[in-house]
Amino acid sequence: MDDILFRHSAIATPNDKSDAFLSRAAASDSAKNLVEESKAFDKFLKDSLQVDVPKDLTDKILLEQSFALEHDKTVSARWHIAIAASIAFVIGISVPMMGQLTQSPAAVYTASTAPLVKQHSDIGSVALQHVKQEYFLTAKANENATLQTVNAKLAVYGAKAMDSFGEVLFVNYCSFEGTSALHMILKGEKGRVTVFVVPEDAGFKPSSSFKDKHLKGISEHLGNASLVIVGEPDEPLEVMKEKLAGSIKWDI
Amino acid sequence: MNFFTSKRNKSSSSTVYKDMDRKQKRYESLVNVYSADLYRYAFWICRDPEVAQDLVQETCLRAWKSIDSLLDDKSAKAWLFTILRRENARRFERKQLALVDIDDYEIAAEENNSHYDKELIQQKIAALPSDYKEPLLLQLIAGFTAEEIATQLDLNKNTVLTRLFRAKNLLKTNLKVEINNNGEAHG
Repeated sequence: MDDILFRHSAIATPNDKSDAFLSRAAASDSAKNLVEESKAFDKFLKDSLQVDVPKDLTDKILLEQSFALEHDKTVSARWHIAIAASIAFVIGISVPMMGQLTQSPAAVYTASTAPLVKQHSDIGSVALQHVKQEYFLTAKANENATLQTVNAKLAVYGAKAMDSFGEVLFVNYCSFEGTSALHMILKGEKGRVTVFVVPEDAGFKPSSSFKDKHLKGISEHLGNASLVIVGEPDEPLEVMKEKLAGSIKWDI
Repeated sequence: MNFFTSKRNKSSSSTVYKDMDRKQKRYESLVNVYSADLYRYAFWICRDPEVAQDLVQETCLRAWKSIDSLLDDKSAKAWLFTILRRENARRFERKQLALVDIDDYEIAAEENNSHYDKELIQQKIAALPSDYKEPLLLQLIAGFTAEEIATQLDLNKNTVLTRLFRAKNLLKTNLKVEINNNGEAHG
């Protein structure tokens, strides 16, 4: 290894482990010094590059991945739903027709009332499911909604916000397992907080607190609706609840 | 007929679950081991903590989606950094208008009042041309050898050595000039 190449390597890659480099580095004191010096400089540069990594970075990454997983499952489950829907459609069409053909009112009756018998699910698990499914849709949303916009939508549920409850990133109606509910995303202390206002007559099973691996939530009955709040595990949801309860006035 | 299908479904779905579990564990350990280095690298190429975090999240999400294509865990680090650099390039494609580098001007203006070596060197590193900066970051943050950097950046090894050499020399001379200029402040 000639002098120039050695100097180059000593500065560029002082930790080179090749025999040619190591033997050349051990050959003289000045060579040794040069290597030590540039190792020290590398160390100094390395230290300077050590910026703080956000504490919750890995949590956020895994959270996002779990949502992606959920998303994939939903997408891949759709063809089942499509087939189920087609079969239901055929049955829905054919049963009353057969009923008419056979002139049996009883058959028509059972076919048309059967779908009305609804299974009431637990409000917490519906909320968690909903937040996960919409995560990618709303992840980057920031509508910066005004109090006026929020109130226009809240009015349907007999509620009115007297003063602002912070930054509203998203507000819209949504289908909460078939029930039309209000879906808001607010800025919480740690991250995004999703708030649902679900009408009482939807008849969900109440659940005052609930959680899964990545999210937690609480719900409470207010006015003639249920308030459901969902956030990340380290989010102080009670604080948000107090804020909302203090701000929203209910007609009844 | 029912009997046969249900039996077949059962056995195939249980291997699917086992597979998913293994995949999940593998992914989680990759995230735990490499996310900090990925973040630091991202931070130094875009100099914005929020953009850096977004970049790392996108990188990891993409990695998750194609984790089956990673055959050898030994190449995981190189693979992740390649994804990160590609994501970063995409960001530039999206934001061509935002290419004016305001930070460079700020650095010029701030030069006179920086007395701290670390702060100074951070500014100097940030201001390096990306041809020099990328190999340097890949060496010092990711801990790649010159050969690995060469593969990563699709250059030959000698070019990488030259760029590392120049980058370090540039930083060293900059630092010396600066210290000489501000000699009094340092004393």
